[in-house]
Amino acid sequence: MLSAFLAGLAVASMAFVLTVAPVALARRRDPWGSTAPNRVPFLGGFEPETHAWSRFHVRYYPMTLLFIAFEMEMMFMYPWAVVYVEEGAKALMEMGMFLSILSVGILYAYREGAFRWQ
Amino acid sequence: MAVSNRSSAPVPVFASCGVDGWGPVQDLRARSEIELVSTPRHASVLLVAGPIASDHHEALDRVHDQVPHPRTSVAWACGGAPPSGPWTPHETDLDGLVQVLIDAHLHVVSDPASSEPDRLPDVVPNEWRGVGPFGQGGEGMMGGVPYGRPMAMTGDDRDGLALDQLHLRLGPFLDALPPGLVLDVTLQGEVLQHAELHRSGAEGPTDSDPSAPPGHRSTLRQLSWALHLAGLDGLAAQAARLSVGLTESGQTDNADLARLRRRIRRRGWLWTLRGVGALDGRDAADRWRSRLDSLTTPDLGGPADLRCALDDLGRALAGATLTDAVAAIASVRLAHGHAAVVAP
Repeated sequence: MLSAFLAGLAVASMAFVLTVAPVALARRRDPWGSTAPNRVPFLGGFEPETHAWSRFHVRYYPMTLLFIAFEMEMMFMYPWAVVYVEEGAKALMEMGMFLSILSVGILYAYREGAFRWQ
Repeated sequence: MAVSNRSSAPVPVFASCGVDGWGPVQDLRARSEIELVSTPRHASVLLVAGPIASDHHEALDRVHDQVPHPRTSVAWACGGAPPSGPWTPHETDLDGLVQVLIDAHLHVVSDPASSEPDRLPDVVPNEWRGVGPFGQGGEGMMGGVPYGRPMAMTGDDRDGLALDQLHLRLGPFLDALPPGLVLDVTLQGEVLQHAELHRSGAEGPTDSDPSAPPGHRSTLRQLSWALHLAGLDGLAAQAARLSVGLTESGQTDNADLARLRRRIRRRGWLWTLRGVGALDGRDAADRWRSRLDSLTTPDLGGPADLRCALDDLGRALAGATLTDAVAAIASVRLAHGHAAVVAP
């Protein structure tokens, strides 16, 4: 067990050395450093006038959320479908209660406009 | 470290050209010892060609400081003296310039301490100190003016997406723009909402006769540049070799031109320019096709030159993507004068 610990320690220390050592050596051997005029993004000669952070739509996001939620509901229905015929009406009522609780979520999403295409 | 006298890898050179120096610099694409790179970040040598307009001198200093160390710079006086700086101007022909560039590169690589210092002061343009007078530090991600620069805010666009609007000033020393031209764009995504083209305020040298058709040399140089912008560097080198090899009377071997034209057609470059930069019913592909025809059959009377103002060209670019706009500008021949654009 000690040998396993030593092996792990050896790998971890090698990982640490191999990541920190090149960075430290590069910093020590850099004769010029980075100055403000060197860091200006290249636009052909002028400085940038606005920030380049632009936001883009993530239009698949609400669709994905809805899909995952009801996929988990489907996961619960798979084993239920296997025993449903044996159990009969009681199983049907229990699944109906489960689905009605989840349909409150559908109603909420509909009221929030998640089903509107634009 | 021994440095041989013959550098086997091409020397990366970024060329900042004035209006006069731009044409001769395109001939450098014919030389395999030099690689004309598109940004100063890839370069080891900065080449300043020809006189630069006085209101672009600070832009030139900024480009010089963006070249990473070890860096050096070379000035080439063609058609006038380049602006003053840490470079010594050379008045040589193309072969002499290539040798000067190679020597400068080898010198700075073998002696990195001789790399040139910054020309602009090392001052961060917009400091951030807590919540500032411009709203920096307190607004969060929605708008405000952090670091003294405004954040991008949304605006309407043609697709109803209301993306953020990015305002860019693409400067005179961009590889993708003709010399001395500044392009102010408003971008949403990659679609230009608004474009304005400016020349420098200082009076440049006026063309002797702007309405005269361009010679074979200037057409081949513009073709070489446009092929480089399309990524076809091998064809660009071939066009530049033809430009360098033009005889005194401006004639070149028609077989070579036909070979170049065949290779261009096989690469499908003109096909990618369909519908790009339509001006007066002719798009960029039509303009290039008529230029290539005028090279191979000089007696062919081309369509009449179209003159339009830079403002009209800017309006015509609105609604195109940025790459299409750059290809459209590359397909147009700009007169040396202040505002006129001549196409084809």
